[in-house]
Amino acid sequence: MKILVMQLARFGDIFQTWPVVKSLKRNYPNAELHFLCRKTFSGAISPVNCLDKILQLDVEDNINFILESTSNEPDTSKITNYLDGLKDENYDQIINLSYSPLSSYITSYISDEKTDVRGFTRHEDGALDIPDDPSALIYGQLGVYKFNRIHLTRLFSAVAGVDLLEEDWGVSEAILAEGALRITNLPKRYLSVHIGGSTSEKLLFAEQWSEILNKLAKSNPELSFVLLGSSAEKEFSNKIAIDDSSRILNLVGETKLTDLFYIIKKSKVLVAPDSSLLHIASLLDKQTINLSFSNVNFWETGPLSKNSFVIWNTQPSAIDIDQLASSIDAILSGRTVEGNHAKLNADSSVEAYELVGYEDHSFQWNLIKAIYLGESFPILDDMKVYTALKQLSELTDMVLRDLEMVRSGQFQNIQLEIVNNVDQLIHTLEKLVPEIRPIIWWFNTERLRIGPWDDQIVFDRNYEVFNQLRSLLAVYVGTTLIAPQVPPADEAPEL
Amino acid sequence: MKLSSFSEKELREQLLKLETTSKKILETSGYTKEAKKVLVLQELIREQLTNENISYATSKIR
Repeated sequence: MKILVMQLARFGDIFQTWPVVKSLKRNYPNAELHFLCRKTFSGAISPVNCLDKILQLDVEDNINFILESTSNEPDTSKITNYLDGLKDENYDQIINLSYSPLSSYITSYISDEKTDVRGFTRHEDGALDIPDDPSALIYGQLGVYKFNRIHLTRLFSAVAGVDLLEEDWGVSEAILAEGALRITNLPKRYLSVHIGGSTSEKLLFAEQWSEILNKLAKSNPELSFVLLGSSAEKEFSNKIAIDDSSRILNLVGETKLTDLFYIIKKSKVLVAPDSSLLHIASLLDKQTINLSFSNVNFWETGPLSKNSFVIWNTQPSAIDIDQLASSIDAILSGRTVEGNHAKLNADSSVEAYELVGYEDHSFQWNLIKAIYLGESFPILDDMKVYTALKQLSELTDMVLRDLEMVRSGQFQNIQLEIVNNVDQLIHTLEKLVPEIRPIIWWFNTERLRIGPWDDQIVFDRNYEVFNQLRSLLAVYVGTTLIAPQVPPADEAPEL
Repeated sequence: MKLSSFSEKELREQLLKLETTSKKILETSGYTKEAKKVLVLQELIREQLTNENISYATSKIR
């Protein structure tokens, strides 16, 4: 058996793919396991020693080649050689964990009807094909400003169809030893601090870091601070200062990727924004304090190491420095954290964290669990949401009646046009009532999954998806999952 | 030659060329092997244009 795992995103996503790769090897020890990533990020997978081959996509080289071509028609010779080479591997299974249009076209090119494809690919007409249910959840519910709370690593394992055990995390002793040879000036007891982030919205200001570290230095006299980041952040890091400068070791721009494993492993705790270093810490099971902001869904990409915390603010400028320093201080000393935070919930097999102090608007998340995981639907206590669900139910009933008329040969064109117009009405409901979005995103994804099949199959599948929607809405419309203050269906007002 | 030596304008021109070609192939021959190759190149270029820093892919690609 020959398996290809594709991860064409960046460092952080590759680190989050490690446990899946190791689990695949554990589950299929005799399989030949290949990994495809971008050349720029290949260093993030090279420490994984269970892979038989690491394949690289050289984006820069391919783009340069086509841009330098003087022909009027695009010169596809280089990409053809590359893609044909991948196709010649004849993979039995391709697990595409990238979720990008690019990766779906590559998967489509290198697979055939015998290949077991997981993750995005393309139908025979080029439309997006989402073959497995976990990938459908990713398409429909994953991302910033959405409501999913299942961690990406767990979703990756579901797509690959493997379980994750503790042994699937971890970094080899050889990699740690490599770092130990290079980095010899670490303080005895220190906090690793990642001052960088892939985008500017994830960055604290230098003054904020200085103030936080100064406060921590005062309350922890034995503690030093090792600053980490890329060479692009060197200038920024030089602006971070504390009263006792001997307690800061600035390694920003001076470390190799493999050094970071050793530095983080040896530290007491990692403090980091939403960045790849916290994923390294998860692999090492190193306690992490993740400073997260609203441009990231920490539920999906937060730290997974034991006793980790997420301290969330809308943006860096909204941070209350005293509160943050006090929270970090409490975590360092094992005291109860006073401020709002999320902490790792090792006992949960679904959401990785539990919220402390935050007002938890979890109706949408509970809807996702009900739709995808078969859990109970949440109690509805909002009249506006109830009315939207009732109207959605009426639209669904209308479509099903029309589809039945089409099936019996009556008024085909008019009925099909009504079905098409319903999409616009559903979209309007989605915009007006955010609470029902998980239902609509699920419904839209399921309809998108209908392929370019025979007309009758497409028709039947559409009918089936509308019917599933009706069953789902029936939970609320005319039944019992409604709080007493919401009136019965016939008394509900119009939106 | 480094990727960064190309301007956004050049990337956009190339993207347009690729989009025109893929559209033509899809209309005349369907989603063929040739169409797939052009679409791969098209997406490679499109990703660069949506990124702040063209040396890196961003989470938008996921």
